[in-house]
Amino acid sequence: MRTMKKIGIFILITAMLMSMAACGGADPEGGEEGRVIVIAQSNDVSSLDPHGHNELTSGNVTRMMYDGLVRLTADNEYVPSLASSWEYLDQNTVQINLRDDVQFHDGSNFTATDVKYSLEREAQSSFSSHLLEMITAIEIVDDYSVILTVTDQSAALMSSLAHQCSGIVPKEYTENLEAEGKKLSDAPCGTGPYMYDYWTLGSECQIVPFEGYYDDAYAAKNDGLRFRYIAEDNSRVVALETGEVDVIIHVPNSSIESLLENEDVNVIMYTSCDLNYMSPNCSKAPFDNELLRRAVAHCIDREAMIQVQASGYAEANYAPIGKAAIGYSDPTVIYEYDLEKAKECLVGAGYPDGFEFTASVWGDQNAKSAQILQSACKQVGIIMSIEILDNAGMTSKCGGALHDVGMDNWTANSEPDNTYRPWFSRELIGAGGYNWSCYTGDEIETLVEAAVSTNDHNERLALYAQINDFVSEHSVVWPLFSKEGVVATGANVDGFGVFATGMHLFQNIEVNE
Amino acid sequence: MYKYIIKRLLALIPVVLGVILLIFIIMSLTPGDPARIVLGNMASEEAIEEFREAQGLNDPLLVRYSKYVLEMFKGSLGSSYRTGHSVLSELLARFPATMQLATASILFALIFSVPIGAISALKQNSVFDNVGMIVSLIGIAMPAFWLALLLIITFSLNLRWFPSSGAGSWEYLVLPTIANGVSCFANIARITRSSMLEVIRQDYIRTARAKGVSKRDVTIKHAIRNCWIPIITIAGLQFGTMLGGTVIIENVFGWPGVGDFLLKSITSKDTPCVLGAIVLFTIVFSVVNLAVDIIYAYVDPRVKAQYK
Repeated sequence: MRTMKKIGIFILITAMLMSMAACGGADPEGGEEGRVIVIAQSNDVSSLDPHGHNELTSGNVTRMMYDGLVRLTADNEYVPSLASSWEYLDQNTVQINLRDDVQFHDGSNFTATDVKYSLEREAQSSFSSHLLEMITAIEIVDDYSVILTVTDQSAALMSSLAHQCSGIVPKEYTENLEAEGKKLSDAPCGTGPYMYDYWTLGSECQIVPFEGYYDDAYAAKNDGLRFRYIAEDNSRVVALETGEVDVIIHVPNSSIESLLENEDVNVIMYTSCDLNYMSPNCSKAPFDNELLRRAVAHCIDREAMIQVQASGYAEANYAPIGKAAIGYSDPTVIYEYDLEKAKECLVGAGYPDGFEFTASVWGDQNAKSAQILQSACKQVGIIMSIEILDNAGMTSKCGGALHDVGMDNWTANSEPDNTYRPWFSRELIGAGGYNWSCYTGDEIETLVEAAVSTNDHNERLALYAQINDFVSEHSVVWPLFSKEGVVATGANVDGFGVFATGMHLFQNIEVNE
Repeated sequence: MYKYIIKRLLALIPVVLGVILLIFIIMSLTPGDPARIVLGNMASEEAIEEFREAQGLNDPLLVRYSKYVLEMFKGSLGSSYRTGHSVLSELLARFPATMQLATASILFALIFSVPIGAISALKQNSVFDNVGMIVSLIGIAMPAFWLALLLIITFSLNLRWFPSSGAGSWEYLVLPTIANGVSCFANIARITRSSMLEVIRQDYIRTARAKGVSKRDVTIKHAIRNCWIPIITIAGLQFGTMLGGTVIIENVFGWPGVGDFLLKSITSKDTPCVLGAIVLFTIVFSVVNLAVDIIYAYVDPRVKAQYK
């Protein structure tokens, strides 16, 4: 009887383990007909609704499932996607003509009703409403054309329509789903080249090709995409080296060297839209004094920071926007690393013995560069303290304009206004946003407003160049460097579509077995 | 016995309420506005305010606490700020993975540690004893993170025997189980050895041997049975802790459990998710402790008598 009891317990435990193993998720090697491309990401997908997030990890999946009206090419040009053409009827009216050969993944036809519904839905989303602030009205002309009424400041319209949050969703399907108490994120449906397959929370998400896709040039050339969440840097790299994944999007700096030497791996490097920067708080002492800002600017040894923080894979940057971003230009006046000039600035400002300030730094990696600046500052008598904060702490302190200096990273998207406005709009000072320089003069804001009010691309670039010059000359922000964008794939993987903004394309990825 | 179990389960209620209040206070003391963190720094002030209003973030702490407790008693743990998913569904999706890893780890630890600990005691000061205890010492001292990377480099990268990360078939379970179970194994092996050493010096063991009972029978039927109490205690504590999610192991092996979910929720100030996960851990830990107490009763009749 006792032996039977023991056998029973053993069987119970074994069955429990086996049953749990059985419900542990999909087996990546089994049950598939073709070759699915496995992409490892450092974060988990948060939503599969294009209007339910505004971050790259989820965007990598939703961009493949939901097309927008406009598409941005790798050459930074806006081309039609679900729109067939557009025309400015006057400064405030844009007619958008739509393709008549598009179907959603549920088989329903794409029409102007879906466009109006989707844009209005996006405008109501807390995540993306700021993108469509320039649209004041949407009018359906017929099944395949709409007219958008826009404000005077509408230069960012096309970039907003091409944004990953501007995916078009089917009106009837979404309304029915929501009427049943369900969410689009749990049963995604768009017009993109891939359709939803499954999503295991906290683990992975898979999408498969949509056979009825309308555009051969952007159709899926593989048998599907599986986005795996692997948080730990080293584990992601090992997964690529063992062939468990085909692509890793976030390559840690410390692994670039070894991956470059690995014949089984292909490392793709590109100039990115990233910027590592420091923002002095210009609205209060000590950095309301421009000479003191310049003094610290002369203490910044960018080359040392690049070696220490980016293992040498970065370029020094003096403009307040990433090197590959639209709007980037080399400022005419820059303050290079020169401790003698720093001392001169201190004397000129009336602080020959230096002063003290605290740098609020996001994350351990940025702290490495902060320590280099701290050491240089000490040599000229400036005492710099470092406080390392998490995301919440940075938002609270720097967003609330309570800091002396804030240090963080920024990735610009295809629209410069999405960088310059949050960084320099005076109404955002202390409002929890990203205006950490807190510059109160009207010079920059005037230029920002002028740039977004013209549709002349060259004129816009000239205005942004003026902002870059002003910011650099007056040390309003201390740009540090732009890291190289790095993606790694298996050596047998082709067709990865690199975008400087990080919004890469995956349709053309193929594996040569 | 049943009265005792019901009493213990009822005692859980004030514990859970206290824990929730504590988490509410801690989360409100930490810097950062959840609305701003979730919506991003590009979100407009109107959107931020709308979000705060919709999530009840503008209410005073005690009002939020009361609302949360009421909802919890109705079976709802709220929705995640970040994903909008029900916290209960997020936890239910991840808890089986944590349960699977914790069960495998504790079984791995028990299967190896109890025999090694017992034999070490029986052969005290022998080579086996010394090697066994040195291995245990290393197991306790070695950081799980480091061991996990060593296992990945050896068995995934070099030998290609097991996958380095993810969850799925049994192969995915091997390396996380070893990395997770080693320190537990080491602890139990040392406890088993010390309590076995104590037991085998007892008079009743000597008497049994004097009566002519074989060494094997004395060990299995008399000695080990009297060692179970400390072993069960430490195994129960370790199991409870592992069910609370092993953040580092889940992170390194890409294991989709609750530990990583909790960590992410804390950094994004996703209070409903943090609360939900902590409530789950509290209940699970308390239930495991209760289970340990019940097992005591079956292992030691003297304890069972106390429960009446």
